[in-house]
Amino acid sequence: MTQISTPMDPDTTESPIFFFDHPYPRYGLAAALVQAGVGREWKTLLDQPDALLDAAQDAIRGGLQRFRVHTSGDLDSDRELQYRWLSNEELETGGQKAEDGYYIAPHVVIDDRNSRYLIREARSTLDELQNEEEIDPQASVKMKRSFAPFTSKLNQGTKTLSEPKSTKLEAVFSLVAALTPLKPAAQVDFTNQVMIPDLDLPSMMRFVALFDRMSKSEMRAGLTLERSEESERKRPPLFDGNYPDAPRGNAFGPVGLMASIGRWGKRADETGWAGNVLDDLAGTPMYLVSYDGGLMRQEHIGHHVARLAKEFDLASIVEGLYRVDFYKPEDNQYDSKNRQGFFRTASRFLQLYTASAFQDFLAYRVQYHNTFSPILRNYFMSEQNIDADIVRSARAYGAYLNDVAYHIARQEVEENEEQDGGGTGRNLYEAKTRALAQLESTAMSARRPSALFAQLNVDAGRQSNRDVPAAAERFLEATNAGEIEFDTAKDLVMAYMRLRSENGSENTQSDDDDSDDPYMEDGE
Amino acid sequence: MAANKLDLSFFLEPPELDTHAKLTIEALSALSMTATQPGTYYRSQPAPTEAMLYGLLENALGWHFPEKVRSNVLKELRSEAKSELGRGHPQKKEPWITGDDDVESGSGFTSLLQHHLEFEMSALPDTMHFDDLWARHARGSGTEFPGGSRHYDVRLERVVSLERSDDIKFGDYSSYKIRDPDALPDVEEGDKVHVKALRPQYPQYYTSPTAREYVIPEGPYRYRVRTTARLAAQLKDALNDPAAPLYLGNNDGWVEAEWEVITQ
Repeated sequence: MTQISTPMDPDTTESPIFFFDHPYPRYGLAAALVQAGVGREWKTLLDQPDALLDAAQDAIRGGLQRFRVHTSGDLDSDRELQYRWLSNEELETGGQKAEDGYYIAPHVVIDDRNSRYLIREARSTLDELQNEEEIDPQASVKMKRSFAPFTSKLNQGTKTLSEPKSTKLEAVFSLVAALTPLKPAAQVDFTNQVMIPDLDLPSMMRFVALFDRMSKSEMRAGLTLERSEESERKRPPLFDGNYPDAPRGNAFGPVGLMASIGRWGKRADETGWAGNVLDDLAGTPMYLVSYDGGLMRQEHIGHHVARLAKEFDLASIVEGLYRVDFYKPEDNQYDSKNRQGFFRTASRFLQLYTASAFQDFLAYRVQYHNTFSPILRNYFMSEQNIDADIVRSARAYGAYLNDVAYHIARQEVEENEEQDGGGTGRNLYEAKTRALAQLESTAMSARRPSALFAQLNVDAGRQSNRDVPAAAERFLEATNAGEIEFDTAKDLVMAYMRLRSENGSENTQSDDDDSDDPYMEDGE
Repeated sequence: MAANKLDLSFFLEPPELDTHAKLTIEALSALSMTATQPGTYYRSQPAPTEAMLYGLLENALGWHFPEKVRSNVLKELRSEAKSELGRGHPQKKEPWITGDDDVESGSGFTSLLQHHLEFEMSALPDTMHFDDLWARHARGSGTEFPGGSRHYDVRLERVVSLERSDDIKFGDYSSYKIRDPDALPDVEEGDKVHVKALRPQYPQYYTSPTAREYVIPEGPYRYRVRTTARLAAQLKDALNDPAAPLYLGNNDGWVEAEWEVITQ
C-alpha cells in the first residue's frame, strides 16, 4: 500500500491539481485548455475565470460543429455512403432523423430523443458567454441531465424533486465535456457511450492531447462507409469507435483503449508519451458515461494492462479474442449469449488479471487464436510465478493435445466418408472440438497429478498413435514433483490445449467474417 | 456527551493556529463520498473533501443544525466575537469575523470550524473501487411510484397482478380513462389505469435503485491539522466519545477516527 504525502495547500507545486472535484467537468476543462492550445503557463489561467470561460466558449462552439453527421446518399441502395459533419448553422433541434441519414456523433453524451435540449442548452450558454458583461463563475446553477448525465432530480430536503445545483463554472465545463469530440467514444446497442478517466488536471490534459493526435485520422476516415451487398449497415465506422484500432464490439472498453494507445505509440514513434499516459490510466477508475443511466459504471484497470499494452501488441490480442472458436458451433454466432458472456469474462480477466477472473475465463470452452499465447505466458509467469521453462514446456504439452484432437477428428471424418449413412455426421470442426472436450473432461476429473497425465496420455496415445513430445517432459516432471500446484497444472493444460497452432490446418471460423458487426442488420 | 449545552466558545478566540494534531480515519465499511453531481450515478471521491472532514468533526462534537439555525449561530458568534475584540480592532477585518470568505460545500454546509482548523498535509491510501445499487429514497408527485414501491394497499393486489402480467397498463396519459380509485375493483384485462386512481393506495415514498460508486481504502486516511489549543482539546474529548456515529460520504460509510496532539 503506497501512501502519498500531499500538502493540502494549493500553492505548493507538488500537490496534484484537480480544480474540480468531479472528473466530468475536469475533463471538459482539460479538453478546452488543450483545444485552446495553452502553453506552459496554463496554470496561471486557473485563477482567471474569464479566460477559462473564453476557452469554454470556443470549445462549445467547436462541439456544435461536431454534433451530427449526415449523408445525402441513398441509405438503402448505395454501397458507399459518404458522411460529413453538419455545421452549427445547419444543426437543427428538430427534424434531423436517422431515417433521413442524420446521426448524432458517438462522442456526444445524449440520445436522439433529448438531443434538442442539449443543443438548446449549448446555444443559450454560448449566447450568455458571448454577451453577458459579468458572469459570476461561482453563481449557483441547476445541473440538468442534458449536459450533466451523472445527475437527476432529487428530493433535497423538499417535498418535490429538484435538480442538484453547482457552480456556473462546473455547469459550463460539464457542457464542454458532453460535447467535446476529444474523448474516446463508441456506440453500445445504438446508444452513445464515452470514457472519462479520473486523473488530475495536468495528466488529463496530457491524455486529451494524445487522444487528439491519435483520433485525427479516425475522425476523417471514419466518415466513409463501404458496405457489401448483403449489409444493411448504415452508420459509418466512426460509430465503432472514434479512435484507431478500437476493438470491434464493445466488451473491452478501457482495455481496448489502452491497447490502441500502446499500438499508436509504437506506430507514431511516441512510446514515451504513450507510455506515460498508459501509466497514468492504470490504477485509476475509468468512468463509462452515457445518457442511458444503465450504461454508466466505473471500471478499474490494473497496472498490468499498461505493461501489456507497452510490451505486446495488445490490440491484436484483443482482436484475436474475437476470433475464438467455440466448441459448440452455434455459439460462434454474433448474438449467442455464451459468446457475449465470454467477452465479458475475457475483458474482466484482462482488466483484473486475478486467479478467479482467469477461472471464469477458462469456464468458456473455446479454442484461442494463437495471438493469445503471449498473454497466457505472461499471466502464468508474472501472476502465478511459474518458471519460464515450465510454462514453455506446458505449452508444448498443450500443443500436443491440440494436435491429438485434430488427428482424432481427421480419422473420424475419414471414417464418416467411408460409411454409407455418413457415420457420426460430424465435420472436421465439430469432431475436433468434441475430441478436445473429451480430453478436457479427462483432465478435469483427475484427482492427483499422476492420474492427470496417466489418463490423458493413455487417451491421447491410444486414439491418435502419437507420443508425448520430449519438450513436454519438464512440465510433467514439475507437476508430479509438486513444483507447481495441481490446480495450476490443470489450468495450464486446459489453457494451452485450447491454443490453436500457428498453421491452423483445420477448418476454423474465417478470419475476416463480419459476424461481430452489430451494425450488419442495422435496422435504424 | 451528557452536556445539554454545546460549547461553541472556541469561535470567540482569534484563530491562532499554533497547535498541531494528527487525525487518523479508518473506514469500517465501503465509503461512497459524492461531492457533486448526484442523481443518476453517484461517483465517489477516492478521499474525503475538506467539507466532509469538517462534517465528520462536527458530527463528533454533536453540532447538527438545520441550515437556518446554523447561519444564525454563526451570526451570533461573530457579533459576540466582535464585541469581545472591542472598537476599531484590526482583527475585525479578518475573514473569521467578516464571513466574506466562508466556504460552503455543494450541499450548502458551512462549517463552524473552518477558520479555526486547517488541514495541512494528508497521506492517502490506495483505494479499490466498485459499483453497487443503492436504494435512493424519493418522494414526488410524479408517476414513477408504482414501479418503485414494494408496499401498497392490500386491496390493490389484483390490480397490481394484472399490471405485472401486462394485462392492464398504468400511466399518466390523457387517454388513460380510469381515474377513480373506486373503479379499481372492476378493472378488466385491456384497461388503461391512470396513476391518479392508484395514488391514494400507495405510500408517499418510493425507492429508486441507483448506481453508486464505493471505495474501499486499503489503509487509513491520515491528516496533519493546525488548530487552536482549546479546539484541539475539545476535539480530543469529542472523538474519544463522539456524539453521533462517525461517517464519511453517505451515512452507511462508518469510520473510526483518532485524534492525537503532536508536540512540536
